[in-house]
Amino acid sequence: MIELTGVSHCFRGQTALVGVDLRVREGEKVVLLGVNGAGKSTLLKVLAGLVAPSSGEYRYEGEVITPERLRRDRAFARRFRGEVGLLFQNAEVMLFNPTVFDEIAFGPRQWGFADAEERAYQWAERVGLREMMDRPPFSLSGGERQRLALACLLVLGPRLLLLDEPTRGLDPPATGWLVELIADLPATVISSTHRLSLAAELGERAVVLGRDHRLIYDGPVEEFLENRDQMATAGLLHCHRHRHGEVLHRHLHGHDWE
Amino acid sequence: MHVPDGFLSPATYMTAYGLAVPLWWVGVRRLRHELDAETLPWLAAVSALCFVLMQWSIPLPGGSSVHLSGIGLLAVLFGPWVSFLAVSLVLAVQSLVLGVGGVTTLAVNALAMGLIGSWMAFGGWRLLRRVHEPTALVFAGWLATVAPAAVVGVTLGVQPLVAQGEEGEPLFFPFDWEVTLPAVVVPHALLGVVEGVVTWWGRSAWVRLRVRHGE
Amino acid sequence: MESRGWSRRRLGDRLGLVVYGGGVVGVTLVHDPVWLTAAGVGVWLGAGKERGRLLRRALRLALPWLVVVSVGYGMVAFWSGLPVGEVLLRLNLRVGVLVLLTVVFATRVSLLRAVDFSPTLVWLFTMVMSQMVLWQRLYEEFRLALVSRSPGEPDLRTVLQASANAIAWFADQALATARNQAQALRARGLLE
Ligand SMILES: Nc1ncnc2c1ncn2[C@@H]1O[C@H](COP(=O)(O)OP(=O)(O)OP(=O)(O)O)[C@@H](O)[C@H]1O
Ligand SMILES: [Mg+2]
Repeated sequence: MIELTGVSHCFRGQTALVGVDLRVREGEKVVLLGVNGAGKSTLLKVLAGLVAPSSGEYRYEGEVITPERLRRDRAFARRFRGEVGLLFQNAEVMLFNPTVFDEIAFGPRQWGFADAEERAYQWAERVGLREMMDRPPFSLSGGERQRLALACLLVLGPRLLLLDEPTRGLDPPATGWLVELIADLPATVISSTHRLSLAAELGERAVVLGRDHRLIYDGPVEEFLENRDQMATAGLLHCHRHRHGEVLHRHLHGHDWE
Repeated sequence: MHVPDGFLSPATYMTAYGLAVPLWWVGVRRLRHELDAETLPWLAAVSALCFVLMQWSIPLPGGSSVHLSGIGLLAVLFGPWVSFLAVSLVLAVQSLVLGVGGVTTLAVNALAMGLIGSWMAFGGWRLLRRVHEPTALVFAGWLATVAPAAVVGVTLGVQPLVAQGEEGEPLFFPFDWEVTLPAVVVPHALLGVVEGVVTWWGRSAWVRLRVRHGE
Repeated sequence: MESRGWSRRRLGDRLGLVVYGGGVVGVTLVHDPVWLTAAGVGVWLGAGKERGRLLRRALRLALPWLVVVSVGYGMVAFWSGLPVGEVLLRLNLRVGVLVLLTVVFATRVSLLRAVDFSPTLVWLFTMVMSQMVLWQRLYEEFRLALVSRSPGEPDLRTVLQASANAIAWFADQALATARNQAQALRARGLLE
């Protein structure tokens, strides 16, 4: 479904991705790991056709994707944007309608679904925002906004769902709900996170970006999580002191801070 | 609308600086009086907002796009003095740090956009808001675009009259105001409509946002 | 402690500011094309290693104005028999030299170091500029989000609506930033 070959990206002198090769098949659940600044968000934006890689090629369903092509080929853009949904790391940048209801119905209306309103109500129910339909999106709490943005994507029935730190700001019940949702969704899902404890829940395959913005691991999540050396290379372990009985120890940890 | 350096005669820009400097001083004094210790953070934040607004481009159907000025909105949200100071500060950063826009023309631009634009927008809004708030806001945004354009048009247009060489040839900007005024004002009268709608919707959205903050 | 290098550079920057201010005023007082050309060459030579790039940048900034004004005036003057050659030569030279001077100043001289006699000014410029970079990125995010959620080019209504909402969000953010900043400064014993 997705084919990246030698994708690199640079923002005005700031390297974000270096030579990334990646293939993802339909229906896979992938978790994208990496430290802050490794290039996770950039990679997801490339996959959403929003950022043109400085070099390398991106194919979706065999079609080469570039922002230029999406601008020129309207019919293709319509299909691509309908099938591929990106949850931005900062979910609030996705919200611009006057009410929660309009926000969820925006996509279905734009794509001319006959049952836009019904779908909007359905998804509002599923993400637990049914009582807030008339509130302005910006007035919601962080976690609520995250769920609203998610509903805006899911209401279109995407085939490829790109989630940039989807659990950010979610409380434990909402996190659990999201994990279940991703597992049950028929779509291909790529979620980024730096919370190791969630990695195994968000997908079965891990793709890891290193500090040098290169792909340093691609394989089963469990295998990656058992391999301390690899996690250390990725910079995903941390080190701090703590007590074992009377003795003060200092060693690497793989647990989360949260 | 940034007029580059070299089109305005020293007499013009010196006069503009002569007017602007005391007004900046008055503005800062007033702000200090109102905000006390929070003057600087406040000014910095509004300036950054002003900068973002000036970068904002609205794609129009047909492939072209226009830049907002955001001055109507700033004046309506935060008052004309803050708006004036913020615009001046952004113009200074743009010309001295980023190297776009003029330095000699800085005072002219600050007076036209910052002072006159803000006050016209604020005044127009105050005048009409009791009649019809949305109209008042659209009008404010429109005025904030058109009034500075008219001022810039006239300033450019008087150059051939105030700065002439020995044979009466223009030394700086060569067209007089019969040409510059319509050339600058007509397009801005159209852009002003977009600006007006943004001012109206922007303020409405802001009010909705404020309501939930309980303010 | 500030290093010797810093204070030497600061001196250079202040000198740069003064030279720049004088240069700008000077170029608007001189009307002889020969002197204007000399000034242009002087600025260009003084621009340092990057002079090629800086010249291109200055031209990109000045050309749209110069072309419109020159072509327009050229036609009008030709029709009504006004002097053309020297007027346009002078105008183009003057605008070109000034824009180049400003571009060179902006890249070669650090305004922050030049004005660091006033901590208030430095703080203000730093605040504004760091916020600008941050918000520029956020603005881009808002734009991309709208693109990714639309089937094609969003219509004007949607664009205006999305802009108005995003702008309101920025305005709100500006307020919150100002408030936090003031509190942070207060907590560090400043501002009082
Ligand atoms: N718009 C931009 N302009 C310039 N540089 C950028 C931009 N966006 C990202 N970068 C840079 O690209 C690199 C990768 O950024 P990216 O946001 O993709 O990282 P990330 O893995 O998502 O990090 P995080 O965990 O903090 O979200 C960083 O060094 C970042 O500073
Ligand atoms: Mg990220």
